[in-house]
Amino acid sequence: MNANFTDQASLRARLRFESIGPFYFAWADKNETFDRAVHTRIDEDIFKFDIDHSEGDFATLTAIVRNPRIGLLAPSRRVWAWLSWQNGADFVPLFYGRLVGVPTDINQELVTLVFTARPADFVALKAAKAETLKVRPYYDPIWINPDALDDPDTVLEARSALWSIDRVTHAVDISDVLVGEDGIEDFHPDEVPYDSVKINLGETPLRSVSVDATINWTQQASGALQFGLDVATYTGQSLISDWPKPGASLGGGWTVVAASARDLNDVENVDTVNCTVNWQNQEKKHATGDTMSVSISSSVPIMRGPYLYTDLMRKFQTGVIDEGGPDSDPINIPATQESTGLYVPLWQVQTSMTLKYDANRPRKEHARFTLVTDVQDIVTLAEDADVLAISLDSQDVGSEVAGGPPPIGYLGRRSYLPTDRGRWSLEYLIAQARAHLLIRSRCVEITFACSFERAIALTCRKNGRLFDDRLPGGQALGKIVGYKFGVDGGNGVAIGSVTVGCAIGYGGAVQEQPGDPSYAAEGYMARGYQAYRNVEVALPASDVSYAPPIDAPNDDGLTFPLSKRQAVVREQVHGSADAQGGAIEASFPIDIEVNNAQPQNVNEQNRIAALQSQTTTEILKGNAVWYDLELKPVAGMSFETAYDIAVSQLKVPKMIDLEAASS
Amino acid sequence: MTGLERIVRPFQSRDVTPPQRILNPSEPPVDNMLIQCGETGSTKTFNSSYSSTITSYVESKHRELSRETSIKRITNPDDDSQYVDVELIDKLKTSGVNGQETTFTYKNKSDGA
Repeated sequence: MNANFTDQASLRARLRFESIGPFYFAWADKNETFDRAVHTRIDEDIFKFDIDHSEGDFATLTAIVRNPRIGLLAPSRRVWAWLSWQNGADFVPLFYGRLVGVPTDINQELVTLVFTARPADFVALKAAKAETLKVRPYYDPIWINPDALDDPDTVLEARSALWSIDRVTHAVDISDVLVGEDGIEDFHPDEVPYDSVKINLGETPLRSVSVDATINWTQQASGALQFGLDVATYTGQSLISDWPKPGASLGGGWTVVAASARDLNDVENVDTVNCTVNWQNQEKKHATGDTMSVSISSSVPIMRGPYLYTDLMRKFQTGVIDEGGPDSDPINIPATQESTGLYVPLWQVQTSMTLKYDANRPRKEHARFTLVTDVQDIVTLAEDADVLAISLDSQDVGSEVAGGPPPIGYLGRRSYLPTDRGRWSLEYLIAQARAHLLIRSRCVEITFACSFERAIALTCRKNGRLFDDRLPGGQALGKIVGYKFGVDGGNGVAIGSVTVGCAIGYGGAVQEQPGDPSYAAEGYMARGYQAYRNVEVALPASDVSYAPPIDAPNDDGLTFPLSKRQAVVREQVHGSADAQGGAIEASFPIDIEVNNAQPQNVNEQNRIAALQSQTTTEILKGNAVWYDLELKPVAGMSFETAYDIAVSQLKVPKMIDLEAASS
Repeated sequence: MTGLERIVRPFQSRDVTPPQRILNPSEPPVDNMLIQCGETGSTKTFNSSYSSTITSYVESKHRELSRETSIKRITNPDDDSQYVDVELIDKLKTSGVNGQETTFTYKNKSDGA
């Protein structure tokens, strides 16, 4: 601790702490707060002590005391202790901690006790603090392994910070690796032993971090669209029979929820009325001209709607009676009439159909960017030697994450990253890349000695600035990464030392760009009503910014909930009843000819057979009125979209100017 | 970075690249969903029929068209020289209503009775 000072007698003399004290060591209970009336006692005789505190770790107290010859770790003994001293005006607590392990050299007159300033309820304190740090943009549970959601250390993954535990109050917090939260301690040349200043170059800084993060979810949406038609047709039978049935799966994520097809003219249920009338003349005597019998038979369909009709056959025989004469026979020809006809009914088809869509489309978005920083060179490396690649996979943002609702919100969304929640996830990625760059930018460490009084005021939540002409630029600012102080009763030296880590950037900051309004002039409407171009959003530290991704996913263009306009590629009724009517009228002569044909030879038979394909029922097959619906599929496909995010250069603080001259 | 040196430099905005779709060549394309109803053009037709017959009475009068006869001699049993020849109708063809021909066939007894 107090080595390397032997050649500086004058300074050591100045640092000698002969007039200071006394120091107090008091055994205490767990969570016992400092009380000057209680703890300013000397429970053990301390010959030497050192307090060592490194950032991210617990401070330790190493004390060499007179061997008390007791069981220090006996269950009934108190193992916590307060170390304090009187600075002449007040009692200052220096350390509070718990005895760790068995003292060394317990058979000797002096034993070494080691204490650690680890709070008794450190796990709970750390967890409680971590909960407060789960905030945008430095924490996003979608990027955390579900098994590690309860791990408080995850809150540091996107922060350039480490845990900070106060050696006296045991307050648990975090502290940035570059910017101390508790201010700057300046050290001037007359406070620092000349030859105690040591500069070490650590790991080479990162130049860039490439991030390729994948976000997964399944786009899900369901809804229903109504379809239907009201059309007159002479081919209603096929239109009705083909109409989809409820429950039918149509493919592409579409199913029929409800469907009906009916004919207002009820052609399918047309009744045919058969009528037969017979009458016989029952008189016993007859005279020429008397009607002897009447026989009528008819079969007629009762149509409820319009129809087209043609006679297929019609025959008449006029009745003739003549008693004849000597040279002529009597004539008695009954009056007869015979006919057949063809009815082609018009269907008035009304249909309705409710189609349900169940979209189920795995989606994947890539957030890709390379965050670059410009730091001072400490060594010449190949261009790709100081590049870090990060690859992350998100949890399913369409499911509950960390007990919360699905991050994407509405599962039917086409995109995630352009949303406000998605930008949070993006900012986390940038923050994580930023943290890597900033932590690795602190590659210069300076260690120097200082007085005991200055050292006891140090914490790992402060920056230290050393003014020394030998340094490049004459000074260096750094985050305190560790400090020590102690007293050696053997030589009376009480002294401290401090190590600071300096980032070697060029400084600077980024500015947010509100962007250019794309529709109306700024101020015409409240922000949020129109899109802005060239927007740049800075992270809270203002050292990096990014351009929010535009919400224009390159997919099939469907936005849920679906509208018919989006879903329907084509909906059309082909043909018309008028056109069919013309074709039917034109085919009636064929029907008549076929119906009355009595082919006498093979040629005639062939001709009639050929005409069969031109009858009314046949020509309607080629003149149907039919319904044609084409819909875009909503399931069975997946989408993968890459967002190349534009990020600014990361501005790293210039804490030491390695390019400057020293004297 | 408050508290540390900060040099505010003009920020250079960057172009925003629109998102790119990454196609999966192994994923089969999904066809559009089609509903086509009534294209076969079937229909239903109906037939009607009608027939009627009215008969009347005409006084039936037959007109002889031809006849076949044979001569039957009837002799006095006591005097063979006394006899009469009788012409018998064997078949008689007549024409009736509407020229309908009727043939009457008579079965005459051998004794002329």
